[in-house]
Amino acid sequence: MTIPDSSAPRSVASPAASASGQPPRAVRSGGAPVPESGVLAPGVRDLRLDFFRGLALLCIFIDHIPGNRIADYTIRVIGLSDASELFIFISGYAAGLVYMSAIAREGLLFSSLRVWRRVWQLYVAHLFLFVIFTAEVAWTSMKFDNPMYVEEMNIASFLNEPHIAILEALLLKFKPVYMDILPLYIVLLAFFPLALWLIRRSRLLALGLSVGLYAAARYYHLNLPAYPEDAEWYFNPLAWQLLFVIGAILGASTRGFANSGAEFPIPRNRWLLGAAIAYALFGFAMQFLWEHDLITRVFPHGSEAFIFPTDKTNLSGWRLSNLLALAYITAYFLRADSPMLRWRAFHPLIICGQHSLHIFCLGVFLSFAGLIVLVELGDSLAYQLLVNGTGIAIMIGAAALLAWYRAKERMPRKPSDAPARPADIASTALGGGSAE
Amino acid sequence: MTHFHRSRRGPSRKAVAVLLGCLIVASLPAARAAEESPPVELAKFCAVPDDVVPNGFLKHAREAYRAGKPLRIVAFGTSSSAGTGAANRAEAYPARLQADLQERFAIPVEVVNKSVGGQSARQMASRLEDDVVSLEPSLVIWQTGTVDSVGNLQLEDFGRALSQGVEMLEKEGIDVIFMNMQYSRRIELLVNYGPYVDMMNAVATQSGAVLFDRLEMMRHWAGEGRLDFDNMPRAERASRAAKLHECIALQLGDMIEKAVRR
Repeated sequence: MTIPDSSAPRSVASPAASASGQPPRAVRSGGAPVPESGVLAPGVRDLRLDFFRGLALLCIFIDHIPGNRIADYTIRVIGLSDASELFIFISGYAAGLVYMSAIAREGLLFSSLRVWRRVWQLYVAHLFLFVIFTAEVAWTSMKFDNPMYVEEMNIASFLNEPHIAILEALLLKFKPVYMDILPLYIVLLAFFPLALWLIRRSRLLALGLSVGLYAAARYYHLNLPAYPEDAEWYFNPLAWQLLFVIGAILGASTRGFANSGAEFPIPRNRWLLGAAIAYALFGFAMQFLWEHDLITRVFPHGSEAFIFPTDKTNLSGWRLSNLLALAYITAYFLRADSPMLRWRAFHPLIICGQHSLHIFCLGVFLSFAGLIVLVELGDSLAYQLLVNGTGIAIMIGAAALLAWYRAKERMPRKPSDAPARPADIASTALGGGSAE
Repeated sequence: MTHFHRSRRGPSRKAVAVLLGCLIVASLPAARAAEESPPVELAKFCAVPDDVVPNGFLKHAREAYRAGKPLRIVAFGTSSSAGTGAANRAEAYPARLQADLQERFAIPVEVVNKSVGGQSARQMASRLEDDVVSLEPSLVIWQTGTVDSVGNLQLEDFGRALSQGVEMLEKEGIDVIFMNMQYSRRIELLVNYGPYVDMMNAVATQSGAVLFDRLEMMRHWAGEGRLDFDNMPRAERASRAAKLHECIALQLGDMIEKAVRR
């Protein structure tokens, strides 16, 4: 099975390029590549992407257990943005990085097909989670039929007309609670070949169109249709595409910039850094005051309304800029070749980030399961810690198994194995190859 | 994706509230004990932490009280205010609140229940003119949020309905208490209240409406094992629902009395 995300965070053309006869550009442009400090050699994974994606996945798991006290300490405490922004930004960056170099090797059509195959995987994963959710709703409504909660249990009303619910789920219009980020990712990725094509033409044009769509969506309240009627996409793809496209442009540019010795397509500028830090501190302060209900004491009556509650559905500018500020600060201080990324303590996060689709789906399922445990056994702090700890351990364990399995699968075979097994042929025919 | 649980208050506020509470209790020990309007046992049973106790100004209700005019209140909610799950409408908190307040005040008190199940905040807002303003109350208890979050209805639209509603009511000389959702751990499995709770908090803060944090109160009662609706024998359903409405009425009565006698 091909999981492009594992191949995504390569800073430069993957070994496939050299294997297929086309040398990496750094070599072609003269001499052996001697990367400056902070710049990765061609074909080396940028572990920062894996690390932060892994972090986002664990935070999403923790945040999705309602009433979880540990959720007060996830990444969202550090500012106005949270793990969702982080996940989408990094996904955009990784997609820009890997598919832009893939286009150079394979052309737009082939790369588009690879993107769409990924979309298909995500779509199937989403439907699988939907089935789990439906089972859970059925179970809950059997256990719980108190007329006191008649309106609340309306959530199970789709069970009365499953034929419609299934249709709406297939159309991605019906998205049960906490299952809205995968549909967003699916839509963003489905239109990604178009973005890639634009980015290749002109980054400025791509950014301009993306900003225009974002502004129009916010100004005219445009969102995709949802089910039931009057519902909306919790993550408005028309607004969130901006974050994905910004990530993709940066990712797509990284390759070219890495070849010229620069690490990051945005200049390392002290003033820019100062502004980013100032904004991040402001975001942290506002989030802290809001979280602790102190905001009305600090600000004159009603003035916090400019910021809170931040519009997550339409990705408010406060949230967007907070994520970009944090990303800049991180990229400024944490170099791609930082030895910190090789610390054993960070290894679990990195392997989670390297198998993001599996770990994401597992996390969503574990949030459901964790809450069921808390409901049935009680939600004392001890149980909460147990549920969080067990969930994280399962996610890391699964990632380790996947990593081990993949490494074993990739091991060079003895010459006696020469006639490839059908599975290998199939995998190659599907567009596998070394990028996977 | 991430879901806020901002409805839970931070510790700092709690500390201040506890301190204030101690000061108040210390300064008038005799007066409190003498009043004793609700039976002490019930008050103890229904107690909530200080940071969940609703608090705020009710300007128009206070004026009515001071002028000695009858106090008319409209309970404006959905099923849980209409009394679904309780034995009947008379068991629901609005009817109990009227009895409770009538014991506290010498002026005539009337609580009119205008609750209709299944309506969104937007649908309720369009009903305000006919069902609330026309009755000329000085206070409305607006219970909402469940239908919108269950239906995943537009958050922005929800917020706008609330703030426009409060603005209109304020113009008509009517105070507003917002009451949010009912707590249940199982429901949390299926519905994400977070953004809607936050929105109600924000609108209340902006507009000066009082927030009656039913969700947190019920979370507290459930956590203490006093009123747990997730794990209970079927036979106890009616009696627990009655107790819940009693507690909500008591908390509302305390809040309204405090604000009006300020």
